[in-house]
Amino acid sequence: MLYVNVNNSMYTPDKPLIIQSDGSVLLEVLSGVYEEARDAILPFAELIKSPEYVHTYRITPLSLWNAAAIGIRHDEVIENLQKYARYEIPPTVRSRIGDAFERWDAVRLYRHDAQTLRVEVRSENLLSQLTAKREIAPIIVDHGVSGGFLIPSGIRGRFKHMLIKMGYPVHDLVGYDRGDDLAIELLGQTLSGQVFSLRPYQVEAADNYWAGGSPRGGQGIVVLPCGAGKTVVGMAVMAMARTHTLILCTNVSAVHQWMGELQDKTTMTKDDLGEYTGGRKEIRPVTVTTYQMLTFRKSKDGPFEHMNLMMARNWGLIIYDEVHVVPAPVFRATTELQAKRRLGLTATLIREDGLEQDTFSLVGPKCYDVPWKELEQKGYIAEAVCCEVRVPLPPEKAPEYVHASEKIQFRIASENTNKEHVLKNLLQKHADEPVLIIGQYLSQLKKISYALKAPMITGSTANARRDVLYESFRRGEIPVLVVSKVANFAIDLPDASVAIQVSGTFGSRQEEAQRLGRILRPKERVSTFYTLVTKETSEEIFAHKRQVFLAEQGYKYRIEEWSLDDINP
Amino acid sequence: MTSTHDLISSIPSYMIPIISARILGDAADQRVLAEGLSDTDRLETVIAALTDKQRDLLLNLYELGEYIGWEVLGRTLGCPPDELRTDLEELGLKGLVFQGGLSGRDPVILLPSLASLMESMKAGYFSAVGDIIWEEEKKPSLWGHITMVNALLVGRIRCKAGIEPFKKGWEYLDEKLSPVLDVRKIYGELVDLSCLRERNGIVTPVARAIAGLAMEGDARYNLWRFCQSCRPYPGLDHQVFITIGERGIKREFLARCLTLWIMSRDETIEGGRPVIESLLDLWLDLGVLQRDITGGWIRFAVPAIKALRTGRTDAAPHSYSEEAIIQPTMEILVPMDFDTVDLLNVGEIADLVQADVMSIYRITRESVFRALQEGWSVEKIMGFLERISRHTLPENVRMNISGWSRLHSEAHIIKGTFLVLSGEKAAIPKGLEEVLPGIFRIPERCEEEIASFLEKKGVMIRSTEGAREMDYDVDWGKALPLRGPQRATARISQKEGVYPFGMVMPLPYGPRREMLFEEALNEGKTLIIFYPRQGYGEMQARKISPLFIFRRGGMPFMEAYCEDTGEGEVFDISKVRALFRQQ
Repeated sequence: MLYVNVNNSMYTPDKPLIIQSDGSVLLEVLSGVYEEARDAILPFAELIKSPEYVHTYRITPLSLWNAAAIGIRHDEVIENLQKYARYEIPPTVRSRIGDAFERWDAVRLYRHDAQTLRVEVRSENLLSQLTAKREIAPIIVDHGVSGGFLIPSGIRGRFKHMLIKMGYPVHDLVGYDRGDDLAIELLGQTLSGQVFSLRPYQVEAADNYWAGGSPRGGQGIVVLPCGAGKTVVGMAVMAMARTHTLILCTNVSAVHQWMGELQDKTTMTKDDLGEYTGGRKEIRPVTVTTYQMLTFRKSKDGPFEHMNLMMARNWGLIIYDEVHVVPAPVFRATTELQAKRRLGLTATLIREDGLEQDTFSLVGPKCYDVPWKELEQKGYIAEAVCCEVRVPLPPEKAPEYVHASEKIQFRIASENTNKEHVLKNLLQKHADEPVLIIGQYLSQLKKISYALKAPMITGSTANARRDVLYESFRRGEIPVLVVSKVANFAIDLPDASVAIQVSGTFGSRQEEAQRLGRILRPKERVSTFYTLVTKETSEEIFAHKRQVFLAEQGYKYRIEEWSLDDINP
Repeated sequence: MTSTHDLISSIPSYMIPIISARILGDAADQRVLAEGLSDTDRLETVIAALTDKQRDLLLNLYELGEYIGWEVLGRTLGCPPDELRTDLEELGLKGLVFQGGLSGRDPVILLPSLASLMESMKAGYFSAVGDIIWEEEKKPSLWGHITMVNALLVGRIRCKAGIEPFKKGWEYLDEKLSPVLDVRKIYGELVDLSCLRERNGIVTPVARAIAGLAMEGDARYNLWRFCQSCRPYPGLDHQVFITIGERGIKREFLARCLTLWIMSRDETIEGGRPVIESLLDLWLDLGVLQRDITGGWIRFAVPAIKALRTGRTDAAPHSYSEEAIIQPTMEILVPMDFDTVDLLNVGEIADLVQADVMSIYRITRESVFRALQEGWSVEKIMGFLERISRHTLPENVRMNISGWSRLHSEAHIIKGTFLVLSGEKAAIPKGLEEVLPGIFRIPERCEEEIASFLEKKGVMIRSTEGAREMDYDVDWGKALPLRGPQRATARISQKEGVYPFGMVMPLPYGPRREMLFEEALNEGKTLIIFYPRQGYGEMQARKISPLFIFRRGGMPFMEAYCEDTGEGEVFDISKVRALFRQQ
């Protein structure tokens, strides 16, 4: 067993990196060389959390393979770590880095002929290991190739998936089907007449992905924070590929958003765009659908009725929006689509289900990442402040709360009537700003909606009605919009600069990120996210989880306390 | 043996002229022989003429002490017995090495007058500490021990008899600590230091002992480990102490001396050198010893030698340069080079998440409750966090701690009768009679039930009985100051006398013995034999010329002319003890 020995001779206190024995890397933000160090490690380490003083990155085999995929060498990784490391690099980390690089590019995949692909294996030893594997032996069609073997081209995805499970990422140099041609270009100004152009980082992201149209590019994931314009990067890639495109989104609102954006910023007309959802089943040169549609089946064991959509046309490009939530059945379908160019868009590579490997092998390696703080500094995304307002429970409710069950206690705390007073106060404070009020309990939201004379969107609100309300909100005709949990995903409210959460449990990390993403669109003023919490109740536990999450994301977090005297002066 | 004169006085008087003639060239009396053997000029000349191997052998003998048992010699020097015997015989014939008896396997004695020359030879292996450039003194860290205590505070692991954790307990400790710590070793040391106790089947850190460990550990831990590591070889700590003293010593020579020392005292050790080498490495790591920049020289670190001599350990000056980082995520990032007392305090107010190069602790509601239970106040917690934090304490951290402190309820159980409750909103089991505001009567034998109910509701129970063990201090043992072992007063029996090694030849048994005398008879040689007076009394040397060998009752006898008595006498060959080897 190896134990970390912090070697005093290696101790350099002015350096900002601390490399932990589990492969995580702590980066001190207030160091004079913070930005240099961040840029040095970003290509091979994933950002896990970024609170105020120390950011945490993690070096994993996947993060190293992502780095290797863009041409970073083993010695560069070690050199960059050493250059900024305060203590010696733990030997376990060194060996893990070495091992990951050893495995990268150990197996390459080339086109042999129309029916077969050539697998090239770097060492004889590995070749004999692979050919002896129970899963691989049956798919080999010809052993007689020097330093490798041949496999049928139809199992390209399956083979890559099998190998990554064995710890070997396949370097796929087969290339892609062209797909049917599509004349698409980005516009210089939007439909509303505003000047439109790609931001520098969007250009860089699209270029990195496309790699001049060579087999080196054409598969990969662009990681950008919420509000940074991932959709625009998708459109830029479409304009480079100029081919029929299938776009997969998380829900119908997102489908509409994509379609709206395509019409707004590209030469695509309504006739070029197909919506494949519960309401409409259009397949057109650019078709936008949801993961839910693809994974729909009538019974638990029945077939996925719409999955053949992925094969239905000669798509040249498939875009996976929010790729970190792609459901497992879609991965299965994707294994058969390795001849298509694939672009993943996401704010984080971390999946709650741990299927990061599938994302890597079936969609592609990370090809672009930019720290959100950098975008915030440059004004591309809004600066956000989170504020927890602690509100006391009315004294008459305290005995009821004390003797109630845990579930009821949470509800009593959530529906604390004193919150309404605080809410009004906050609305006065932000009178000239568009405000979104989010809550969990419909009765509470209805009451607030009635009291504020603000429209409300719930799960039962029809899609058409939702779109109308969203549009009015965007235009500023409605200053306050009350939304239930349904508002958490992929709605686009460009002018919302204040969100007030009056109730709700802590959802998943993605859910919280999405919720905050609603107020991060670029604006001139600072965005604020309020959470109203009943003081000294179980609601504080959920609020604390959210607080930790938001602090981890690097948002400034403030806590305000209201007393009964403040509420009833 | 204190002097050469004492040694010479142990040689039978009748042997003095013979031996002196052999070594000095002239037959002399006891005084002249002693003076001749002690003559420094003669000794220097003799030693200068020796081979390196012989000089090494002399030095080894000097290190091994005054009397060296034959079996000790064979074991420690590790060379074949015949080769060793030959080397010793050569030294014996020069009057440098003696043997205390006639059997040929008696203790070996180095000429006492050699001491000053041996010291001169040894001097080449020592140096004044000021003449050498030393590496920086290593400072042992109690970081691992305190971190494990902090893990145990959160984990509350169950244990078997002997404070041996169950498998799950080890798994928990491994998960929290194993990337950076040797979990089992540190756990064992905490137990040895009386810092852990078993309480109701749970491994419980002993508060006072742990506090003592954190406060004194910097100064005492390395010395404690040094003495612990010497335990398997009683007296080794003292031997190291006297061998090095306040000088610098060549590592190679120190290792050789200590190897001879442990091997001469423990017959079970085979190949003592690796043991000593690993101990030297350990003591260097602990900072008890210090090496020079080339790695060839060693000395005692100044605080260590002072403590070993006086028994007093000066508290190490505060040398921790690192501060903690407190994040808005409620995490405290604590580097390894962090004050141990502060680290212990961090463990009281925050839960250890993961020990590593930078350990991660998290302030939680439960950890704040625990700290309040241990006597911290909100003000103290804030003050402490502000002091250790490199940056401004995040506002949300401050607000959370003060918010949680308000949620903290305390209950006092007045055993057998009343529940005294502070904090308004704590849930009270229904049906309890409130005898005064906040004071409830508990039905007979229901204390535990109510206590467990309150605990489930998150109310801390402050028992009237002392929950914390305050009676035990850290057990550093009684190792300081170092005292040498009591000197053994046993002296080797000198009934048979002392002789230069190899000058006296023990006689073989059986026909070979008879043949030696037959050869002398045939060649007309004069022999000096060692023979008991009148066949059974004390041993005496007799100069004889064999005349006739015969058997009586199957036993060999010899008629010989004895020059000492001037008469013919009959000797029982089987009783002849040894022969003086003639030139």
